[in-house]
Amino acid sequence: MKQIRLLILVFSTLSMQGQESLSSKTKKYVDYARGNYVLQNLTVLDGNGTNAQEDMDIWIEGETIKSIGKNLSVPSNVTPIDFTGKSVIPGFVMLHEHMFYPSTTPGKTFGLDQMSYSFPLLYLAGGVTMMRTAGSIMPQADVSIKQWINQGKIPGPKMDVTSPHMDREGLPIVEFFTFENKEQAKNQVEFYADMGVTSIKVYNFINREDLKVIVEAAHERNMKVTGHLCSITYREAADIGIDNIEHGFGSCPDFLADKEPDECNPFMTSSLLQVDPKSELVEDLINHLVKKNVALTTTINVWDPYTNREVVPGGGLKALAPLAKEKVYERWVSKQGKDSIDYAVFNKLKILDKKFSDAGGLLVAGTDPTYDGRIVPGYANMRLLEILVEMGFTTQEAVKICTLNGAKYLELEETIGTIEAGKIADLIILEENIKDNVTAIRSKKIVFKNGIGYNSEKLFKAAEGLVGIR
Amino acid sequence: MKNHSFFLFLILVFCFGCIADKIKVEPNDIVIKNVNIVDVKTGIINNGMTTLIRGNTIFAIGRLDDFQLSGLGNAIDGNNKYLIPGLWDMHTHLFNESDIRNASYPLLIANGITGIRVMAADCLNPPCEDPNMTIAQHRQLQEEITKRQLLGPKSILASDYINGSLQGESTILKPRTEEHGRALARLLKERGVDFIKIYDVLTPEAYYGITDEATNIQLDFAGHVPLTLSASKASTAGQKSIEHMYSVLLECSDLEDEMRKRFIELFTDNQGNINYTSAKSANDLLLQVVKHYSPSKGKQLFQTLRKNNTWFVPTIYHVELYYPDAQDWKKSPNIKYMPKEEYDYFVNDYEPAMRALQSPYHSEVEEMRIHLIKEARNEGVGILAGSDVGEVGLVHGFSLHKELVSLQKTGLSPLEVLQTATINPVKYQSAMDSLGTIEKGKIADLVLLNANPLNTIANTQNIDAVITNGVLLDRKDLDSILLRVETYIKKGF
Repeated sequence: MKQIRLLILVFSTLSMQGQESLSSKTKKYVDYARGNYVLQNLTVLDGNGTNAQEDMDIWIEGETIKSIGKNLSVPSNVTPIDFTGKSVIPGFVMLHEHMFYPSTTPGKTFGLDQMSYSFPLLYLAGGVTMMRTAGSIMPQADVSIKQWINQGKIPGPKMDVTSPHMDREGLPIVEFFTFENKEQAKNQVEFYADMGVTSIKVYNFINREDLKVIVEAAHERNMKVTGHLCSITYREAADIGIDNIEHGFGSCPDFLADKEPDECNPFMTSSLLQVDPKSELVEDLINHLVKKNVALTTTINVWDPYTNREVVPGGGLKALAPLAKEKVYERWVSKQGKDSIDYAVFNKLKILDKKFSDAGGLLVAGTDPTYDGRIVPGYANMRLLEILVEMGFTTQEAVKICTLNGAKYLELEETIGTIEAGKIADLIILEENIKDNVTAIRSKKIVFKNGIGYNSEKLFKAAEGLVGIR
Repeated sequence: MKNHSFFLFLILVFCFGCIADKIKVEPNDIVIKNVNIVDVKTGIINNGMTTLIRGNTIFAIGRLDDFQLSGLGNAIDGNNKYLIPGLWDMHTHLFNESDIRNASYPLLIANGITGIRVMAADCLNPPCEDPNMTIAQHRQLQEEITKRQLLGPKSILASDYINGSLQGESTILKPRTEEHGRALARLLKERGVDFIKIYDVLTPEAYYGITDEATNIQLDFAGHVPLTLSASKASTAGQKSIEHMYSVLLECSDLEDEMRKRFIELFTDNQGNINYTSAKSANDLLLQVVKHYSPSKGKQLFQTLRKNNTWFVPTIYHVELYYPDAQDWKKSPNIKYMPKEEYDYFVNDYEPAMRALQSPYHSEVEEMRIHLIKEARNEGVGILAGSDVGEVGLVHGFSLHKELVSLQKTGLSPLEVLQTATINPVKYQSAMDSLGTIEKGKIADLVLLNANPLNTIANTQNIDAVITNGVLLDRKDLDSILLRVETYIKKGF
C-alpha cells in the first residue's frame, strides 16, 4: 500500500507544479505569492505533539520549507516577514470534509445539496490545506474541484476525493445511490476509481460480505476504505480489513446487547449512553481496533450541545444563506435547555474517543458538515480543535491529531503534516499565540498552502451568505 | 442678507463652468423647476433653484436656464414650494409583513418619511409578536425597495429587544453574566442586525459584556438605559443613542440612587424578570424624581452625552396622548389607516397598562420634560426625532409629524426641529456623503412642501410631492396610495 501511495504522491506533486499560474480569481485571496521568505519570530507548534518553540524562523523556498531555526540569516534575495507575537501550526489535514450541505428547502427534509463554490473557500479559510471528503453526492464534481484547485483556477485545499456513500437500500436520501448485490458493489468501486476517486466510504446497511468485496476491490485499486457503520460492528469491520471508522464511537453498534448480524439497529445511542468507558467491553474493542491498525475519525463537533453555546460552532452564522440561517437558528433556539441527551452523548464521546488515542490508536479528525446544518466548514474545523482540548488533549496533541495524524493516515507524512525542513509549506499563521490558548485558532490568519499565503478573512468574506445556495 | 448674497456668489462661480454646456434633460429625468431649496445645515433658503433627478440621484442643481429642457422629462413647477431632504423617523416599530407592505410602508412614504430606524427587527425566540419578522425577512424587503420593486423607507434595523435576567439562570438569550453578554453580542452580529437594541432588564455585568464585545466587533448598540445603570454610564460605554425621557429624568434628580432602587423593585418580579403590572405607583415615583431636580446633575449628564456624541431620542408626543385633556386617539382622523391587529392590541392589551402608567397627569413632570429637552439642546446634545410609532394610538408616518410639532412646542426653532429628522439622523449613521442634504450626487430622497417649514414645523405636513430613491410621487399619487391603504385596512376590520 505504502509504495503505491507514494506513487500517487509523486503524481500529485507533478500536478502541483502545474499550479504556478493562479487565476485572477484565486490571486484575489493571496497575500504572499510563491517566493522565498523567512517568516520570523514565530511561536511554533510543529505538529509532532511536542512543546511549543519560541522565536523561530521558518524559511520557505518556493513550495517547501527549506529550514527552520532561530535567527536564520536572510540572504538578499529572500524576503523577511516579521511575525513577532504570532504563532504557527501546520495546515490542517482533516478527513471528514464533505462538499455537500443539508438542503435548505423549508420544512423537514433529508436532502443534500452540493456546495462547490463556498466550501473550498471556507475550508481553506479555516486552515485546512489537505482533506479527505469521506463521502460524496457528486463525485465527478469533487474530482473536478480537486483538479481546478490544483491548477490554481479556484482557491481551496488539496483533496483526497472519496466515493459516494456506498450502501444498500435503506435511507430516505435521494442523493444516495445503492447497490443490490456484491457484484454491483465491486463494479461501483471500479467505476469510482476510474473516475478519479481515491478513497471509499461505506455506509449503514451493507453486510459483511459486501464490506469484504469492497475492501478487496478498493485495496486492489490502492484506495483505503472508511465507514460510517451500523449494520456491521467495529470489531467485524476491523477483522474484514477496513482502514478507518468514522464518527469516533458515536455510531458504534458493538455496545448493543441484542445486535443481530448484518442488521442496522437504531438503538445505538442509548447503548452508548449506558456503556461504561472503563468496562472490559470497551477496552477489548479499543485494543482490537489498535491491533488491527484501524484509524478512528472523531467528528465530535457534530455533538456540540446547544444550550449557551454558539449557533454555528466556531462562529459563522453569517456564512449561511437566509433560508439556511433561519432553519439552523430556529433549531438552536428550540434546543435551548432541551439538549440534555446531546450533552450526555457529547461527554461520553469525549471520554471514549480520547481513550482510543491514549491506547495508541491513530485518532484522526474531521468535521462532517451535514446533520442539522449547524456545522459549517472552516468554522467547524477551528471549533473541532478547541473541542479536542476540552476533551483533555494538550494543545500540541490536539494540533497533532488535526495535522500529522491525518497525514499519516493518508500516507503523506513524508511531505505534509508537520513543520519540518524538506516538507511542503502548509502552515497556518495565527495573529494570536496558540501556545497557551487554543481559541487563538479563531484569530486572524494567513494560510500557507504549497508555499502560497492566503488571506483567511478574504476567503471567509467571499463565502458569506452562500452556504445553502452554492 | 449678507449670507444670502454670499451664497449667490458661490452659485455664480459654480455655474460659470456650465454656461457653455447646458445640462441635457433625458426622457426619464425628473426636473423640479424654480423651487425654494431649504439648506437644513444653515437654514438658508435658496430661491428659484432647479433640480434634476436622474436614476436615484440628484444629478444637477442650478438655474432654470442651465438646463436644456426640450420638452422631455417630468417637469414639476416648484414655484412657491419648498424642497427639503426626505424625513427620518428614528424610533419606529413594525409588525407583520402584510401590514408593513400594505400600510406602514405606504403611509411612511406618503408622509415624506424616506428613512426609519426600526427599534426591533429580528425575532430572536420564535414565535414573536414584536418584532414579528426576522432580520432576513427585513433585508428581503429592503432589497425590494433598493430595486424599486416596493415603495418603502430605507431602514436601520435593530436586533430584538435585549433583556437579560437579574437573578437566577444566565443564558445567551437572557444573559446575566458578562460571558453570556459577550456571546449574545457575537450572536447578534452574526444574525446581521445593524445595531443591538438595549432594553430595561440587564445587570451591569451583562450590559458591559454585551457592549464591550459589541465595540470590539464593531456593532452599534442603542436603545433604553437598563434600570440598573445611568444614562451617563451608558453614554460612556459607547451607547449610540438614548431613547425616551425616563433615564434622563431619573439621572437629573438628587434622589437618583434611591429612586433607581425603587424603580427596579417596582418593575421586576422576584425572578428578576420585567413586570409592568405594578406600574401605577411609578407616577408617584416620577413626581418625586422631578421634585428633586438637580440642575447641576442635568448639566453634567448632557455634557457627558455631548462629549461622547450620544444621540438623544426623547419620543415625547405619544406621552401627550395620556394627558387628561388629550383627544381620544380612537377618534383621530388617521385611525382609518391603522391596521386591525395594532388597533385591537392597543385597545385590549396595551392601553389599559399604559394608561395606568401615565395617569394621573402631573404638570410638573410635563414641564420637566420640556425643560430637559431645552437643556439638552443648550448643551449641544444631538437630538433625533423618533415617534415611537407602535405605541398606543400612533399611526405610521403621521406620528412623526406630530412628534416634530411636540418638539417645536418645547422651544426648539423650526430649523432645529427639521434637523432632528433630516441631517441629524443621517449624521447618526455617518451617511452624509449620500443623504441628509440637497446636494448634487446625493440620493434623491426629497419632500416638496407647499409652505415654508422654517416658519412653522407644522408645514412639513403640507406635502405636494415625495421623491424616494428617485421615484416621483405627486399629490395625486400620494392620495391614491392613502386610499389604497384605507381600503386595505377596511378589509381587515
